Amino acid sequence: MKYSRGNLLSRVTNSGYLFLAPAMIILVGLILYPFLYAINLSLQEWDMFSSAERHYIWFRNYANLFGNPTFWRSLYITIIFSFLSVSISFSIGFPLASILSASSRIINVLRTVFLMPMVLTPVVIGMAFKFLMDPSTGLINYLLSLVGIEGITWISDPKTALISLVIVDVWQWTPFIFLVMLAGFQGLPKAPYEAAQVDGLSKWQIARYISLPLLKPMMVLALLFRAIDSLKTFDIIFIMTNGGPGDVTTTLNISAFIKSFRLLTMGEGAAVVIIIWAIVLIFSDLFVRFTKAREEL
Amino acid sequence: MEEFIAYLRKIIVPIVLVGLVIVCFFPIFYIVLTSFKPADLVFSMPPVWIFKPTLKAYYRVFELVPDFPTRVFNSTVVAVVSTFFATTIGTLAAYALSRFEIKAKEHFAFFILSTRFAPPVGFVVPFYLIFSEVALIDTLTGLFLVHIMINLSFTVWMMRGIFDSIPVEYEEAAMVDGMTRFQALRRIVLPAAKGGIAATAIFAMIMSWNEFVFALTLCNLRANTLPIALPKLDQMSIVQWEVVCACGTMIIIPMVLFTFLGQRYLIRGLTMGTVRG
Repeated sequence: MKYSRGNLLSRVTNSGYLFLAPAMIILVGLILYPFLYAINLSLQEWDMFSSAERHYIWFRNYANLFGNPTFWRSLYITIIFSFLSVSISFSIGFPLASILSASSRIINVLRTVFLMPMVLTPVVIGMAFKFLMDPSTGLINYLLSLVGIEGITWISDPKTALISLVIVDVWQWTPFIFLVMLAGFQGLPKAPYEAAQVDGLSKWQIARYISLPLLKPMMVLALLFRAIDSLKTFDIIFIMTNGGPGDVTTTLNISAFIKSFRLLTMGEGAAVVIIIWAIVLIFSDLFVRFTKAREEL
Repeated sequence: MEEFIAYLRKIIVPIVLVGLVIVCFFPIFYIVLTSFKPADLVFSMPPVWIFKPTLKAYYRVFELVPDFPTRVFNSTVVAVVSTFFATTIGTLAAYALSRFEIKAKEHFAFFILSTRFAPPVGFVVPFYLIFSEVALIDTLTGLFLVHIMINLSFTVWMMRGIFDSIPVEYEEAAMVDGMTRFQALRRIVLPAAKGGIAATAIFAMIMSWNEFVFALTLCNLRANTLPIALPKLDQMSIVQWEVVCACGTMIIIPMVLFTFLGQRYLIRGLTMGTVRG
């Protein structure tokens, strides 16, 4: 349907490309060019500390990465971080939306509060949690001591550092899952439920065979967005642990940053960047397929 | 049984709501509170809730980050200018995607969408090197370009959804009456899309204000922005938390206001217009 819309107008004037041109120029100049630049760079050896000129070593940067256990460790840390934060925030956000789906008016009043964790400046949030999670003087440990739990060392302990970051990410993004799923619950059509009542289905059957399938598109959207964005997480990790202690929170993003801007091995940094890109691309592709399929309905 | 569940729901809902509000709001409230504490009370546990508020930490921010006013200026100018361009360019492109027959237009739209998913760290390295070559490091112009790049995919998709929801008959009627396409766009379509444009601009402004990793790598003296003042305070030998909190509070105040103004559209923004929450 959407395509027939432009017919009459297009006959009047065909300046569509004119409207698109500025955006095209920016996309080519500021996205495509840097992208190709990064690919090109990833095929070179360029150590800014040494005096050697940059030169092509083709796929050796990638070979070096794949042969290095620290790369696989970073990949593992990245996947664990994303998996934990997405699954935990979903298992909190979804039930919340289900419980509160009937109280939409009060939630609209409180909406600003729920939005704050995800739109307030991430570095500020990171610093706030660093302060709250301080092992000796932080508020969280004090509150825990009131219920008899003593001395968690949070981000300064290799055992708990990654999970501490997951907690912050969950705090930031559970409201996102909650609000998206709330929109899902509120958009449910009435008719199937009336029919189900007539047929005498149980509450469980209604949830399983009617609500769940109808909510599925919203769930997929929320999960894909969270998966992609959690793979991109940088600010919070950088400000709270900067990859440490040791390398227990060095995700691929942090690793690319350290390689490029601390160790100044630009070629290898770019290779990590390209690998992150490839991983995110898989999810983006899923997302694109999914939205296309949805539009065609 | 049914009655019991309904009754349970009545008790649970308010408890869950109150808990949720506390969990979401408390960390933010606590840093604002700490920013007004005298230094000797910051670490006292149990925490002191009632005290004589002081602005000392705020004065300290200006001492420890001497270019703080410049940073406020830079952050504001970059957010306003980049938002203006990203919204204008994005609106034009979105209008084309919504109204014209364009070859391979869906491919183009999805190419734009895919840039939303690109990891920022992936762009930082090439941008740093390209900007070094063309002398855009540590300049506001460089930051304008970066922030336009960051926001464009979002403005295009958001505005496209908004244009799709405005009936095309309005413009057709106006153009039958002799208006040109530009006139119809300016006098009919844009006024109808006013709310959506405002929401798009607010969202772009928030993203620009919060941007961290590009500023961290592309700025060092003249073009510094507000968010990168925090790692500076964090790297002092003894972290003065009340000062960090004061700095953080000043950074988030405008965002709290923007969140409030844009609340109805923010979920739509975060999901590129795919969820109308």
